[in-house]
Amino acid sequence: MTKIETQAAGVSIQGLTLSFGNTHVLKGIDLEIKQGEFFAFLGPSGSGKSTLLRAIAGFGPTPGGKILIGGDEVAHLPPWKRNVGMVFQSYALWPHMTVRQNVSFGLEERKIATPEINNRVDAALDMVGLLDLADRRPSQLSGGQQQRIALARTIVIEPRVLLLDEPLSNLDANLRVQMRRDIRELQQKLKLTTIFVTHDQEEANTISDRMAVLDQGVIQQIGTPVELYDKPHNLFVANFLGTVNVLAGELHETGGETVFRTKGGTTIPFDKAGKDVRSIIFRPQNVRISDDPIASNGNNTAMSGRVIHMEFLGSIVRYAIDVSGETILVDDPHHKGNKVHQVGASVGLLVANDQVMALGI
Amino acid sequence: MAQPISSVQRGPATIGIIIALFLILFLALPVLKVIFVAFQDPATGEFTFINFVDFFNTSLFQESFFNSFYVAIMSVLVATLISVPLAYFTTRFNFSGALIIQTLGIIPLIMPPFVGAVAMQLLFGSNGSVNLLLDEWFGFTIPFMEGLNGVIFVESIHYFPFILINLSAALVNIDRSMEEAAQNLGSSGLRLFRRIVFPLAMPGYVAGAALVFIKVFDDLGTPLLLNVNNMLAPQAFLRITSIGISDPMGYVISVILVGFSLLSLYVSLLALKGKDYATTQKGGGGLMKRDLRFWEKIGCYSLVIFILMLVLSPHIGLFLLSFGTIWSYAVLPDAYTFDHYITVFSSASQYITNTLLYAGLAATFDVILGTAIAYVVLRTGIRGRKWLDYGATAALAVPGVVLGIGYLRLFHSVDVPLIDKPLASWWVIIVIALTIRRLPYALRSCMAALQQVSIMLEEAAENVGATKSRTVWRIVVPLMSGGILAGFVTSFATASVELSATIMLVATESDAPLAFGIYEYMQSASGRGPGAALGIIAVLFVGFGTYMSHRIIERSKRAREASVPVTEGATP
Repeated sequence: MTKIETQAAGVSIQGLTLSFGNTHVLKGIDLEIKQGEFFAFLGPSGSGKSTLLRAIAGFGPTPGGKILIGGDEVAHLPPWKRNVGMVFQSYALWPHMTVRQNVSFGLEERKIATPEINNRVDAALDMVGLLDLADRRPSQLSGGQQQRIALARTIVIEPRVLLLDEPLSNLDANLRVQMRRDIRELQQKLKLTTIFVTHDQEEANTISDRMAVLDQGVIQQIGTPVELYDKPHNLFVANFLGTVNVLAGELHETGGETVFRTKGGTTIPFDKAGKDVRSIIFRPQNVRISDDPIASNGNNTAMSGRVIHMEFLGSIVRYAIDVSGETILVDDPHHKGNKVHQVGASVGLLVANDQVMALGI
Repeated sequence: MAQPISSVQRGPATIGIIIALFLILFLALPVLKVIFVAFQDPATGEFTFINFVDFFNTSLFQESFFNSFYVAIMSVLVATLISVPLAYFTTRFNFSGALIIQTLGIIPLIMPPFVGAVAMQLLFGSNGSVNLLLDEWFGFTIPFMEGLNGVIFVESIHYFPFILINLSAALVNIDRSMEEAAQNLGSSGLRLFRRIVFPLAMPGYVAGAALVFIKVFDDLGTPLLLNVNNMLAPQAFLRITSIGISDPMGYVISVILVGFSLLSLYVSLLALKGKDYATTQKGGGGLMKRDLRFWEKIGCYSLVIFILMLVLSPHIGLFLLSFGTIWSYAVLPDAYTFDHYITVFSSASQYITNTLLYAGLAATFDVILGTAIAYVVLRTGIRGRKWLDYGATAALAVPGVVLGIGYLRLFHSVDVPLIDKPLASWWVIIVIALTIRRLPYALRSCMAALQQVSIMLEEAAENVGATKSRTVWRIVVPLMSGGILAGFVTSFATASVELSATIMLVATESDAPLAFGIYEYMQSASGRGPGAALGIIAVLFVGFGTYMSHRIIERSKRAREASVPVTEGATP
């Protein structure tokens, strides 16, 4: 059987700007995506992530700046000359064609001989496990099947880059997890450079090698999921990748030691090279909670407060604790028999100092 | 940087320019020429108002102007009287006759009014069936068809569906909660109707009424066939055909007709603008309905059946006339025969073949132009593309008589190479006139079809390697096919019975289409039978066409519903 063999290429985006009329949607994007990498664009709606993806595919207004695919400048090329495969959010299967006709379309446009088209279509359909549905119409397929056909239609042309525009958003929760794994597996098998657009940080975390967080047309940070979670460069990234406690305040020198004093008056020892620190952040799971006040030690800072809100989420209990006017979220892992602190109770908190990150804003 | 991308638009831009030139040459210039001539001194060629002064100082024209206005207003009133109870029954009561009422809304539209006019005279004229019976039984007659009454009667029976359809749609779109909210706040009965239902339904009514007004005001065929000549459109026609194309009065009348057309289009736009009163929310739609009591039911049915008989009377009359031998001073024809159909098929078949050719060509051009304009307007960023839409739609405001006069004036001196004939008397000009006249309808159909095609489906094709033109050919056109076909059928059906522009442009008998044939036959008493037979054929054309386009639209609607996930176009 013919095999689908893609020739993956890296993508380099340099100083890309794009506007719809007077609305500047992309404001200078610089990005290097390696050959064979699974890369995610993560951001809220309106951040420009889909626009960026579409610009790579050649849709939308002509951008300023450069888009290089495998070293070739493509920004001036029309979509049909770019050889980048895109899977659309709502799949965009052509309703007047069968599954086979949908998948063979791109090969026909490339004037490939019929026997080879048939072989490659079979291979692509086989790859997504839907060879037996070749003669159906898209409307006779489930959402998940349509998604696979859309993938097959794209990989059959052996694109240099695979673009996925929120491909999972129209699937139900269980199917989404399954598809996520299948897409990742397919990408590994084909060693295909893949760009995945999503607004869901869990999706981006689980599927991608690296990702770029976008907001307001600007890349906020690029890195692996763990890097972004553990070392966010700014509040936006910190917040977008998970719940976080943010305490504003400033650095103080007391007796030769540097401490960070929050607006509420809590002080936390601060040994990192203090430049211009305006706030500190830490994740709720890095705070321990107990009935009685605990004493600070070299590695932990103690605080005490009152429970103002409690949510039992099963694996954890999430508390909101008022600590001298500032609210601190705490995720307490739940085990059978654990005490659940009720609203109004006085509690002691312990924050691990090495989990505290400093931000300049 | 932007250069290569814009080369993608070179194709559509060229097509757009060609279409624009076509519209300018065959729509804008003829109309402008007509307006220009109306303001031109016939002797010196200088700008002047003298023609208008002459017009309003001539008693015949004063009378014609008044008559046209009177007939149009009265037709709107009579059509309203027919429509309001029908619309009210279906939206207010659980009335099982709703299907009859729906049918009532379509039957008149499949027959242009002039076709039924003569048959109506035989049924309702002073010596017609109804008056003969009335005279025999009760000793009095009703002058249904006397002079202007006849025009009003025929026109309102034919055009009331425009009001019925618009008014019903407006009423159906009023959400029950609107009414319930008013009741909840203490309003009921007539007060509730006056303050809530009536204002919400008003835009729909006005839009329909404006349409009826202009259709009647512009109509040429009906008054001509009823021999009522002291109205504007017939006067324009008669001046141009009997005195000649240099007589300024035809042009003055044309300017007045165009002016009123624009005015009523404006009124209907104004009525609908910013008043998207489709208040229906999920769940309950339409006003509260209640069951009818026994006597009410009888009353409703009697009225509906009475109106149904009235609406069917032109069809019945035409049918009888086409099979009757002699029908004069009698309730029914003396005897029945197939002779008229035999006559028509043996000696007048060129009318039918001409119609098939003209309407077929016109409808083909219409959908090609419609698809191209829709694509340029909806899918490209070409500057000024919206003007193609406006330009093509502007044909709505140009009465057929005016277009005909414009063509005669503009093209009578333009010789077509090779056939050595002026363009104005070549049969192709009829096809062009029909194309222009039906383009607005075909265009709307194509626009709607293209709007249903998600842009993503096109992007997906481009993404896997199809160029713009290949995408149009393999994705866009196949997906639009339902709408294109429906547009074709509607254009074809209505073009096949168009009279007002054709009547001015037919140069020789052998070039004449069906509508012209009916008009010719109906002129003489002996020709009525074959004329009616032709009329029946025309009705079958249009009826079949209407049915087909309805079926096509329904089918593609169902097909769309079956493929919801593919067409929900979330355009970023």
